[in-house]
Amino acid sequence: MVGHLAEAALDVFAAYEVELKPRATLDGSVEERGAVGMAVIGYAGRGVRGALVLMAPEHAVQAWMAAAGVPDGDVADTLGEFSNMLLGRLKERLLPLGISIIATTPTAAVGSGLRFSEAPGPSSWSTFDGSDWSLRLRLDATFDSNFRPLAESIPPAWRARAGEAIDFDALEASKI
Amino acid sequence: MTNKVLVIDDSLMVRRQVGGTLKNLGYSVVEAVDGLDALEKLELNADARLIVCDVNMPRMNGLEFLERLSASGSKIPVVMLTTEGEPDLIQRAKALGAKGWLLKPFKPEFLEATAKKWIPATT
Repeated sequence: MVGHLAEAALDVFAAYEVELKPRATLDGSVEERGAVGMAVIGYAGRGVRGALVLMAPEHAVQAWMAAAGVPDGDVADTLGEFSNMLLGRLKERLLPLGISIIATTPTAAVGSGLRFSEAPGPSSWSTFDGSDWSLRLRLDATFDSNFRPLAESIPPAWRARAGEAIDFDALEASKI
Repeated sequence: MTNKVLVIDDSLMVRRQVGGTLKNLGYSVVEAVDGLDALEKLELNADARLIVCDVNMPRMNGLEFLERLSASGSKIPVVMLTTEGEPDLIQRAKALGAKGWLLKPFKPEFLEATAKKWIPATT
């Protein structure tokens, strides 16, 4: 799932033409220059539940807001929305694997000296570098012992990928 | 006839992005932060000609809003704009009367095409 999350992160930021490079090491730190923001979005599916955590310094989020054309946006709100889009792109990648999850609404906080309580388990932080900032991503997942991927087939017309549009009159992706 | 669009999303960033795109195209925009807020805004803006609605929102989500809107007999077209690509949700939205589904991060050209489809008089 971590590999899918990395791909999701690259996709989301590419959509805003923000260059992002995964750091080679498994773990890393966010350089703190002033306040740091953190967004958490939970999810649950049949036999699986957890949360995605996005952490970045405030000046990084301001760069994302500028890229999104909303330079006067709110840092916590933007962090929450990016966590939402990241989980959305992750879901898109998990669906063909038979893993269907539903997301909560995100919660975000911005401040100095934020501390994160890490749940025990195999999850770890992934770090990505932007132009003059870094962000950290973490996906916590707990699988029930009876977890099994779904086997149902999904008609292609009902699948949708980020950035696409479905016109229900035509039911053809990307063709309005 | 107005060219008013109601934009429903709990994210300020998305409301600004969508609203900005539509305003640049000449549309008038009313914002709501969730389904409940949207129902209240519609009482004052019954002349809205298109609704762009998020799915995952607090208090009242997009599908619940669709249900309420459908029950009220409203004929205003609704297009969902969301990070959700879950086929079950897409099918439920269509069954509840939604006209389309846009995936975030949205491409402005798709939003423009959607707006022009449902408010064709605006250039």
